[in-house]
Amino acid sequence: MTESTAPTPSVRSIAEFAVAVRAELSDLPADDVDDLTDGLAADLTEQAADAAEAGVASPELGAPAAYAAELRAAADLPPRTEPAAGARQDSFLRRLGTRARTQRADAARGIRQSPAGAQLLDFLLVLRPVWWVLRGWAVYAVAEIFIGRSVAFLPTDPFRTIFLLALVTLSVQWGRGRWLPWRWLTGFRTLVSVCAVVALPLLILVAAHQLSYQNTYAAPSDSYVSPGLVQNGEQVTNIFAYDAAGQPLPDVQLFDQDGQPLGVVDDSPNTPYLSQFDEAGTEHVLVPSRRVPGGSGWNVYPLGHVASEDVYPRDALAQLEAREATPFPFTQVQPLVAVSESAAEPESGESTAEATPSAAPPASATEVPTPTPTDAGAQQ
Amino acid sequence: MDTTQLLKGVLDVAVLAVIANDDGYGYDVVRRLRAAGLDEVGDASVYGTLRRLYTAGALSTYVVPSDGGPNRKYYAMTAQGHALLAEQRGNWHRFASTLTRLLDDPASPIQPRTPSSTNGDPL
Repeated sequence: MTESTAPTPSVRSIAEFAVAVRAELSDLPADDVDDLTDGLAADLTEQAADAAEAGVASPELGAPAAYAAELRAAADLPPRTEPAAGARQDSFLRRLGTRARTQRADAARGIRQSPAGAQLLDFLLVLRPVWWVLRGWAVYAVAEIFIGRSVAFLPTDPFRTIFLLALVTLSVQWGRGRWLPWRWLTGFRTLVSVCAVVALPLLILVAAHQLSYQNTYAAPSDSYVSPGLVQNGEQVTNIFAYDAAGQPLPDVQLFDQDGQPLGVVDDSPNTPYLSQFDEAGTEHVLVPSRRVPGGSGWNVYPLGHVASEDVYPRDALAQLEAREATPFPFTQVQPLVAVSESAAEPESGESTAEATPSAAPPASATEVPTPTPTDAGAQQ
Repeated sequence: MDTTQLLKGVLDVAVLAVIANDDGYGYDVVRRLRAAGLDEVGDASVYGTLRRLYTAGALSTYVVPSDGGPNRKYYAMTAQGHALLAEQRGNWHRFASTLTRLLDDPASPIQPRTPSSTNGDPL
């Protein structure tokens, strides 16, 4: 071959030759092609340099097809099943695959031109097993959604654990080019990979969210926001106010620190009633005060009470006349003791004179509800 | 005689022999073979052979980064490779001596009959 008079092949023609050889091998599994041609351009370049040093003409590169055939024969790989020229008649998918592989090879070569690029590429190559594991996990997570009908990203029982391990093992073996007895499996692997790449960002996002949710779940007060009023995890369904003298106060309006009505339901205008069961299993139905228009009197305590069996449909409850005053738990409680110069003293006892809220508790009570608009506005 | 035809049968053992004591990458192996006198060895044949020996478990590979240049995939012998080399070396010696005797003295092709002979194994 050394007697060939062909001119020294340029780097470019060597690269083109290598790509052409790859194309000739394109019917083989991608890993075989990689194994056979990964160092090809470098080897050919070095060979040309050797020849130039020795002062002889470079060996002719010859036909890529012949070169590829020699590679195959020596590597004990089957000869090309159809002539390379027939590639035009190949299926769209195969042509796409061939083109993608060629472009990948070109891109890799381009990146390797610079030392930094080569280093980066090597670094990423080392990380390839991570991708294999992630691919197995992605298939597991998707299967969990479609077959297991749950969004669980880590196995919860031994069967699932084995399933996940099997998928990861398969993915890793596929990544190493093993366990691909049929050629169509290579295409299937590509399909799985593409799907995994698409699904992974979403899966990781959801998994991360789920994980952080589980972490906060340890502190129940943070994680689960129950609607309405809660004390020590128990829902508060009614409030009974007593004045300083220990007498029950009807129709007390409560507001929170932001000036928001302090209701036992969170969507007061759209909640016609609140149903609860006592220990005996009897249903009690609570309704908002009718003295606030629009059914949003959920912050007026104690809430009205309706015997549940009386009324159907329940929607009519809010308009119902038949409500009764909820009985106070105590007819009276202990009066407050005067601390010093008596701010709101026993004379408020008279204000228990039921009903008239306008004439209600004296002193400070009249000032409190009014700041609502400004305060609430400032908070939002 | 077309030595490339001859080479085909012995390329395995030749490749194993040049790697046995010194790991090498693809073209490195080609260069060693040519330096040893096998001028006509085709590089594609060598690369294919390396790949086949690797698949068969006789060789292992590792990547050596090179400054400025492309990375090199080096081939090294495995224990299996050494065993294969030893076996093929024995085969070759028997075959070569048989053929040498045959070619040097075609008149007495039935040499194995003589009891004093070294019991030339046909292969």
